[in-house]
Amino acid sequence: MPDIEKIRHNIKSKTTSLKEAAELMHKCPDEKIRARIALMRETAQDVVRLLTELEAELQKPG
Amino acid sequence: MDRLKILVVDDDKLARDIMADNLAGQAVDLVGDKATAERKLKAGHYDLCFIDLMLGENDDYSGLKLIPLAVSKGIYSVVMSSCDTEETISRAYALGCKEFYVKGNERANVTSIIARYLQGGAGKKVEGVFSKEFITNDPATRSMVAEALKHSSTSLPILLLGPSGTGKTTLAELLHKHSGRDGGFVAMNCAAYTEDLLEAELFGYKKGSFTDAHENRKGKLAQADKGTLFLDEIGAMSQKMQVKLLKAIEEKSFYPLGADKPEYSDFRVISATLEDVQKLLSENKLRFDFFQRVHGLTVTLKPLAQRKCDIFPLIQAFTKETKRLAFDPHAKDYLLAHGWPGNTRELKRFVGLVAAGTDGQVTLEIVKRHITQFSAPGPLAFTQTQYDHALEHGLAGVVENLQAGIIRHNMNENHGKKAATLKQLKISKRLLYSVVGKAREAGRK
Repeated sequence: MPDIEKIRHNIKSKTTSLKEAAELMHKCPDEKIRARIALMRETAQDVVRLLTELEAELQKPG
Repeated sequence: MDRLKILVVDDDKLARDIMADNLAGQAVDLVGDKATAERKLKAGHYDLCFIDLMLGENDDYSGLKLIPLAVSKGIYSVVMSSCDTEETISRAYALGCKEFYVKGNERANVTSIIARYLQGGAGKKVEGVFSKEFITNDPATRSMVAEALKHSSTSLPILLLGPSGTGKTTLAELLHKHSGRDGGFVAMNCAAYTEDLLEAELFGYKKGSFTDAHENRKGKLAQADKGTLFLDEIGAMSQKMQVKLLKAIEEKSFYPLGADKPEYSDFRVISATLEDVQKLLSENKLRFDFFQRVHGLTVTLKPLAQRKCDIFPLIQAFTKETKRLAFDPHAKDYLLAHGWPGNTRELKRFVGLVAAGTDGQVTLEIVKRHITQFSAPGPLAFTQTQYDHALEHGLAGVVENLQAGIIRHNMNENHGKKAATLKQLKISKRLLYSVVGKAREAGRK
């Protein structure tokens, strides 16, 4: 799979996880919510990094 | 039930955490890379394995390589991926995975998959159903119920049609039982409530939201969380209620009366009506958008008169734990010839009466004594709107409107040829021209 496709796939996969986690947030027990938010933040940062990588790939000639 | 041993292979930590929540109650191992997954698969005895395909940001579908190993260990393998190209799906199935789903609706997918795993496939599931849970020997009914059972573990809405007493509630309960959903079966007959009561009953209410609301009360939607909501007689619901319910079904959230925060409920809808759906739609009693939302799969149950092969198996079932009955040949013939307008409900009542009043040997005289001689009234030949109009403005106006409507419809069918309409409807020229004249006048206005 070309790099750009992999990046797109990873963005899709991570945003799906984020969406799923956001939808389940109201069911998340109090003792777990902080850890869940930390994981969501980490995933969101991954998405930002992947978007930067995608932009860089798109700017490459050819 | 013993806990299932499940391995989840996903490189995404958040996805693993969500899967752990979705599989709560089972013995779950979570791993994030191929090497650990291989070690676990070789060493452990898992029932199910959920495999992500890309295990790492630069990975090349190494999850696919885990499928043959899992399959060789007899593990029910499920692929979950964001990559759903036809080629990938074909490769995964060719390697032996049992299910492939696209990430994004984990809870519903996981619930269905576990239910299917526990049932061991649809073929095995229907065995025994027709002799115990939904008794029928009728091939068409069997095929329809079997089809519905295939969808029992999905969240697809199901609409059950058929006259009263044909087993719609029994089938709804059966579908819930086979759904694998953790919650309960919550049934509600929409025709039994006024609009206000129906709203309170469905959505629940908060203390003080109306005069008699002395305490908070959970509605049927909340009670059906993780279970099934069975709505009988959906045609009796007002349009306003249908709009509210449609929103709740789509969003899985709703506001109880007097609440300022929404409540959430993960319910599956099975609905039913004994009325003609087309008629309900054309009379605007059933909103089309609401109908579209609740009729994912439609199952039409036949009246007992059209599946007489079920009469004696049903009698056997109704008397299974009580007194057995033996029918004389004439009594049998009479039962087979009877129309059973009340369907299985009538048959059950009949069996109860006969079992209580005889020594078990049933003669023709006994049958005749206990069988219903009344029949249900036929469908009304007019609509409620017409009836209301007649009460308000008199019968003549309704009759005139009806005449004009039929005449205009017939003229359209005959492309405006008046001679054909005169002949087909056997009406006078005077009546025809009066209708045409009024239509022209209305058009000019």
